Amino acid sequence: MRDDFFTREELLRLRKITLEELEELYEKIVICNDSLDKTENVEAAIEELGRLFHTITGTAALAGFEKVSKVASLTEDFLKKDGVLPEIIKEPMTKVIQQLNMRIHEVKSNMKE
Amino acid sequence: MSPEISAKDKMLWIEVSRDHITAYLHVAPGHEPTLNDIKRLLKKENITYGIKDDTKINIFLSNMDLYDYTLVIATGKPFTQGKDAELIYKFEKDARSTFDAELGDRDKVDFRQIGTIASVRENDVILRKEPAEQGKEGKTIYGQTLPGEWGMDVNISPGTGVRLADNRKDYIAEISGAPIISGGVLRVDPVYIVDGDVDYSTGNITFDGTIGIKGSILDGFEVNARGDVIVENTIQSARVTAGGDVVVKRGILTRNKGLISADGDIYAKFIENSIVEAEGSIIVENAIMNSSVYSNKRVIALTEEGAIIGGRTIAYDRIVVRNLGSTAHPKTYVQVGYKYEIQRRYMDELARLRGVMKQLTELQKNYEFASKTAGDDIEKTGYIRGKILKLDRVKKQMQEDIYELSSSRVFNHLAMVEIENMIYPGTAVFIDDSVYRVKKETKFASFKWDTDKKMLYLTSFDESGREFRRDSKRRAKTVIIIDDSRAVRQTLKLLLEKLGLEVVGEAENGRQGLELYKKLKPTLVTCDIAMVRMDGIETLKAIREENEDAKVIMISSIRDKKKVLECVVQGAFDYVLKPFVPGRVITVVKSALES
Repeated sequence: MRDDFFTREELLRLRKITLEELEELYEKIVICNDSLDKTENVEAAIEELGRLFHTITGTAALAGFEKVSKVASLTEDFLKKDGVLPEIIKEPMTKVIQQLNMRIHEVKSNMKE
Repeated sequence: MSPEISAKDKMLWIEVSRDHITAYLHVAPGHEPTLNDIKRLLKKENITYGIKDDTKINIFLSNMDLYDYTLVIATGKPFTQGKDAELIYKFEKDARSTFDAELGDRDKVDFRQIGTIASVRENDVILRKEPAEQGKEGKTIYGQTLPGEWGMDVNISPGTGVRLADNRKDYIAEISGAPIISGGVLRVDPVYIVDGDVDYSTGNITFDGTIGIKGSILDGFEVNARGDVIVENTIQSARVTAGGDVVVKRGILTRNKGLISADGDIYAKFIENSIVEAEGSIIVENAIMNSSVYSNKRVIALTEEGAIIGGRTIAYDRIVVRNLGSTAHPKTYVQVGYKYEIQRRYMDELARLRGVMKQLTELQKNYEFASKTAGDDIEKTGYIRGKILKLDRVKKQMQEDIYELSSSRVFNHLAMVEIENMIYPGTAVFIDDSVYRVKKETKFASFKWDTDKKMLYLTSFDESGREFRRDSKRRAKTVIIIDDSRAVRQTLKLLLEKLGLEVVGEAENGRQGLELYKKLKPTLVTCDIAMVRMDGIETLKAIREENEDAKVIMISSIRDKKKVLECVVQGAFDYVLKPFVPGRVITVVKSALES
């Protein structure tokens, strides 16, 4: 986000809001991912996962959190592919969720500084 | 002027004015100083000049209560202002040079005296400058000399064809010709006189000086002059370009086929069905009718018959007329506040954009019809789809260009429109992008810009002679934001509020967004695509069904061409990709508001 339209304080506030939202979305992703084993409507759950990652892609990029956005974007594309089943995505999703968590924490630490 | 207290004991003291020209002696009631006491005090304070004589001081001392115990004990001599520099013209000046552009003497301009070509001969003294003088010196009560103030100087430089004499006062013509003063420079232009009309006998004329035409400039001909162009009769469908003024003793009637253009001012008896532009002012004796008139200073038509009727008139500073519009209520547009070149381009580009939007709407309808009737005929729909995408790209580029133009305009917030007599319905007055459409005949109206409220307003007088004010109607521009991300909604809200819009609602999905739309009927909607409970495209369709003129801007990170096309086909005003650059959103929003 170019900072010549917003003041420093405004940018800081927007980034804080974004970070809070990313943390909420992360929690939703964890819950949704955990439910894949148990749910009957697997297609809907994967679609929901995809939508959550899609939201993170756009929201993170807007605030300049490029690494978070990149992880989410790649995962979104992966989930859109045909034939994606819970057993196929289980392991990659675990790694992705860890990656996402790391990136979000990175952002959080940088903001504290 | 508050005095300085220069010495104060409780019984006897002196106060001196800030400019050191007056000294006041104060005596406490009950105290009876002597003349010597006073003289000692004056010496102590170094007051040496302008002291009252002893007789007067003694009179004061004998009658202190009558003087309220205060006496002006010393008075200095103030310095004086010197004489201003004076220009003494040695040639007969055209009434143009005495025309008060501040309009103080506007009724006194005699149009019969405008357009005389002065003539000087080689080696004539054509101007004498009496230099400014210094005023008389003054003196303070302390004896300090104050130098006299110099009068105002007048800067006039010798230009081509003129030299300054050795005495540095006289300006001498180096050639015979017409003396012209322009921009603080005096020059002598060679003069070319055409004894009759500019027609086939003369051909087109280009001359590096002033051109005087004793007849008219006829259809199809061109006259270009570095100096002035003075025409005794009329200008017909011709092109005239002057580096100085254009003076037309009768009228300009080009039937919208020519162009009259001046770097200086343009004077004419009337202007009819013509395109006229001037860096300076445009002054007309009678009416400006059904013409496109552009000035980077003022447009003035102030005599009894002075009027602007029909057409489009743009001025940077002011439009001052006797009557605006007429009883027939023709559409008459006047605009002030921007330089005409950029404003004209801006308005032309806006008109072109409207044309493109209209074409897009037609194509969208055709695409929908074709989709329903073509069945599996992809070629048919594909052709229209291609045209839509191409036209959409053109539209986006035009929006960017319009934004650039809009940002580069410099607004003159002191610009105004003044009507000495009557303004008629059918007239629209624009200041900046604010408009006042006249619905009722109004006398003595003035239109100005309110810098606080950022709108234009009319002032006039009611039947009892009381002044009243009426603001231009300004519907607040409102917007609702539909996006499932709180951070995106907040960012957009901040951006849109900076643009002066009012965010009246936020929704996190399409269904909520549609309900908000139905309830609030905002000017504009921004909408994401990927949302639960009604995605963006469904929301767009539903809003457009609710109101076919609704302006919806899609903002999404989806780059799929099919989705983009679908949005365009369903009537989205535009499509902004996330992550968006604020400038892009501003361009699109401004374009939506202006269309």
